[in-house]
Amino acid sequence: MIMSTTVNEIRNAVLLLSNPYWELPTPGTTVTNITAKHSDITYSTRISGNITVLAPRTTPDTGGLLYVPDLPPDDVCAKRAEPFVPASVVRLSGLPPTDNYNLIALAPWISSTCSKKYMDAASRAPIRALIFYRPNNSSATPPHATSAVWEINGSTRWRAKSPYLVFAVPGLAGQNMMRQLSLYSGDVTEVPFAQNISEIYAPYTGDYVRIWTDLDVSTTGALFGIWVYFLIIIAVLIAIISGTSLTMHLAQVGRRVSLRRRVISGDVNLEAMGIRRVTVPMTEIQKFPLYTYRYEPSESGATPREPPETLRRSPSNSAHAQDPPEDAGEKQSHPQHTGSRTPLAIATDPQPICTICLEHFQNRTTVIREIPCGHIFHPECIDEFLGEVSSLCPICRASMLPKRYCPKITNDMVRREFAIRRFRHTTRYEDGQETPPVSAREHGPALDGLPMEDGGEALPRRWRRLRSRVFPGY
Amino acid sequence: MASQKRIAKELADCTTNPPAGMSISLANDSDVHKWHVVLDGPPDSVYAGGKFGIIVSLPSEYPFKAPVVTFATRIYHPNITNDSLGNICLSILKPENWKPASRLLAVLEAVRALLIEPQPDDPLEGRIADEYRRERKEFEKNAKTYVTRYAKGPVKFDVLAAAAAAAPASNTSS
Ligand SMILES: [Zn+2]
Ligand SMILES: [Zn+2]
Repeated sequence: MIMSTTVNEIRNAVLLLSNPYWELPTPGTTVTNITAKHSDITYSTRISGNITVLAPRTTPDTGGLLYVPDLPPDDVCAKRAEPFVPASVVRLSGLPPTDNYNLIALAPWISSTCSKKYMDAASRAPIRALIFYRPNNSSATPPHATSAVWEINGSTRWRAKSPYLVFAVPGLAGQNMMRQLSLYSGDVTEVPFAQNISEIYAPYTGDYVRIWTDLDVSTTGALFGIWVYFLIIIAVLIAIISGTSLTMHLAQVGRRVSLRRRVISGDVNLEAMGIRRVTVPMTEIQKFPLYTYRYEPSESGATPREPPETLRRSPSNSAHAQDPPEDAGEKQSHPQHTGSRTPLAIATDPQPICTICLEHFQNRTTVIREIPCGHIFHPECIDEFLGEVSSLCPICRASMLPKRYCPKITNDMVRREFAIRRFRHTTRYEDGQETPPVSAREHGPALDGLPMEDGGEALPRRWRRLRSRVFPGY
Repeated sequence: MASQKRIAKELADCTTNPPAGMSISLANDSDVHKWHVVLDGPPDSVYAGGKFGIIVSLPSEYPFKAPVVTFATRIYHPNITNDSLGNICLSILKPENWKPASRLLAVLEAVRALLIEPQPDDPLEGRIADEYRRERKEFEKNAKTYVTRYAKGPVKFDVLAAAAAAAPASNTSS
């Protein structure tokens, strides 16, 4: 990733550097920012927004004392720079000992050759940055770093080799800085407002009043780039993982909802399919009516409140749950179950005993509960069975679950139902063969009576094995 | 639930009025949950002349849970495992088919019916089932050999009863 450096702002201010103890082992320096305290009597400026970085480098946000690098006196460039660089500007010799300070160099971009010489000269001092300006009186942002303007020896490759930060300011701003640099040089008595400064600060003659340049630089370097790269990868991974799990979760929810719908609609009977034992909520069981058992065959037709014949069904034609006929008068105050029968009723279903405990019902004594299929039991027997063991009638295996009732559907139930459906599908296919080959019989489906009451459907052995596996507690 | 009471009732019914060709007793007089049944090979079957020990174990949840029936005597039959466990595959006993209203009497009669008419389409011993379907003569010969070898003389429950108790889970496979 390419490193990019932006110089957001240059701030120039005037400092008073008092060094009365230079000869001591630890020189003490007092630095006073005159601009900050008395901006009316000093120079200050801010340049921002129109700076072109030529050689980007990571650099701390500090500045340095502003100066112009020295070219050899006999150099042709020194001559050529004379119109742009006043003789009195601050040079290295005009600064306090630079062990304690960083420097910022300022130079005009006169020609590529001379600029190269300025850069070479600047690299001999502890500089933070080199500021170029084209002496063209322009206040526009200098040309882009890749522009031919900045070429040295026909290329801008120098930009990659520069040991320090190099950037360009607009011509006008550079010229102005150069002029100020020529003013704030020499000793304290020669700088602008020397009188005022002298009155306020009473500097020593050996003190310096100089321009300090602060840089506000922001860098997005290679290291930062790598971090961004990693963060993006991590973010993408997290997005993929959470997206996948969300999708799976939604798919599971969808399948549960689908199974639930089929259970409610009656297409799927969880218990008859062996997917899961289902029990009836106790509150529902309590709704099934209680009666006192009555069975008086000799008094056939004697009881006017006898329920219609349809109430008594033979266990064999059982199949569907049906609400017992409403007999409001009976149900409200401990209803009497009129077990008395016409001969037909006796023939089909006298039900003299509770098939759970095999006890005989006592006429006019035993309290019995009638469940929706019409079968009767001791309440203590049937309540425990429906509430804790199974939702199917112990006699006819009709479902005693309330209409549209569905227990909580789990992912496990979805899986089992799917597996059973798939096995049924393959079975149907394999059953299509009139006579399966011997090998298929041995390893493939073997037929078996099915859970349904009448055993009308055949199931493969594989399925039975599956069922006992998925439903071991059954 | 008076499980004990119901079992006692069924035991009384079965002992006073035993199903054809069977004699029923408790393995241990103090425990009504384990029955020993001696079944005479049905006269019109290949098992005629043999005496077969059958162990009926009633779970504590009986009749809400199905009883477990195993053969203590080795038998050559498509629906009964040809090993010391003697597991039997009986539709009425399957968990999904079992109803509390089913009686042990009906279970025992179903076992007897299975000896008269094996169900080769729902085998526990696939090889024997094939033999039964394709080479009936060979099947009959083998079955009779087994009767002679294992089902003559006094019926023994003990050895196999222990084996059956040690591996009750294997019954769930049928
Ligand atoms: Zn009862
Ligand atoms: Zn019923």
